[in-house]
Amino acid sequence: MQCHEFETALVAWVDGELSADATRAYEVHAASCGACRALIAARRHERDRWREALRDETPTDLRREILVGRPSRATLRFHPRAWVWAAAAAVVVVVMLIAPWFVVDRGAPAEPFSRPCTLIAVDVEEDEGRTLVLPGGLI
Amino acid sequence: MALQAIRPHHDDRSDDFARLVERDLDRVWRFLRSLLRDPDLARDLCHDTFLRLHESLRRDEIRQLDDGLPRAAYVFAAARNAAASHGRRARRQATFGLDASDDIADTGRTDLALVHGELRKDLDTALARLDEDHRAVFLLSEIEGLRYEEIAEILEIPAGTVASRKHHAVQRLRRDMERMGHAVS
Repeated sequence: MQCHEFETALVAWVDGELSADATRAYEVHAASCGACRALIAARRHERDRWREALRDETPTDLRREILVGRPSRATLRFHPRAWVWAAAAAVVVVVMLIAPWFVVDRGAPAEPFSRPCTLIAVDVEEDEGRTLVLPGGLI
Repeated sequence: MALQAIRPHHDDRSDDFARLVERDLDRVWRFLRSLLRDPDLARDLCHDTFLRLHESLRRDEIRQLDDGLPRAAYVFAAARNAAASHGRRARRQATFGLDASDDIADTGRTDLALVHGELRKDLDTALARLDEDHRAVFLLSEIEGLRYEEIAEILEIPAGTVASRKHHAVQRLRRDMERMGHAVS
């Protein structure tokens, strides 16, 4: 094994990921090459420093939130279709609430339209140039 | 869907789920925090990851268990998928700004410098310059100590690709860290 081959496989070797044969060849070379042994030491030192630096403390309340099942912002934010359906439902409710105000009262209507009712949908018909709005059935 | 998530964790798998959180939350948090470089987003995706894991546990969907819990590779795959899903959504919204062309000087965050020190800040900066594929391999191997085979399973790539990405990630990080004054003695 040459030094440049050693260096190419250095990361995998320190990670313990070389095959048994490659590991043996690596160890033979390291035993006879001080420069490559220094590379091993440097790689291990580098790995330990980086590992230590990136050791984050988990936020103290995150564990509790997950265990009690509090919904995250992500849960809400990441389901855009839920927002669409919620918005659609809100529109339907608003329409149902205000629709009766727009029902045209033309004199004394016959039953069953003479009493206040919840408008579910409307049909529109033309009658001698005037618009009649009649409560209809379910769409 | 969102409303179903309000109190999902109270059933006959609650003990297993609590053990899973105890075993893996810290490492999932670390992984997502460094992968995404955004603590708030990492926090949200931790929720998302464990919500999915809970659902999988509750439905007995996990085939390979380790002491009744999903293997680490399964857990990290869930976290990775949560991050990837977010990435796809964010790209659609053009707000996911991780780019290899990020300038080193522009990506530093002074709050991180205060909290984690200069080395952490500069590592974050250097990590940000890696593409996400290399960053994921680096974090799973270097920081979490997973085997290349496990990482290959998580990321659905060949183990040889993991080795290659790890090598190049280390080379590039080392070069950037040296530029920022963190040469390994």
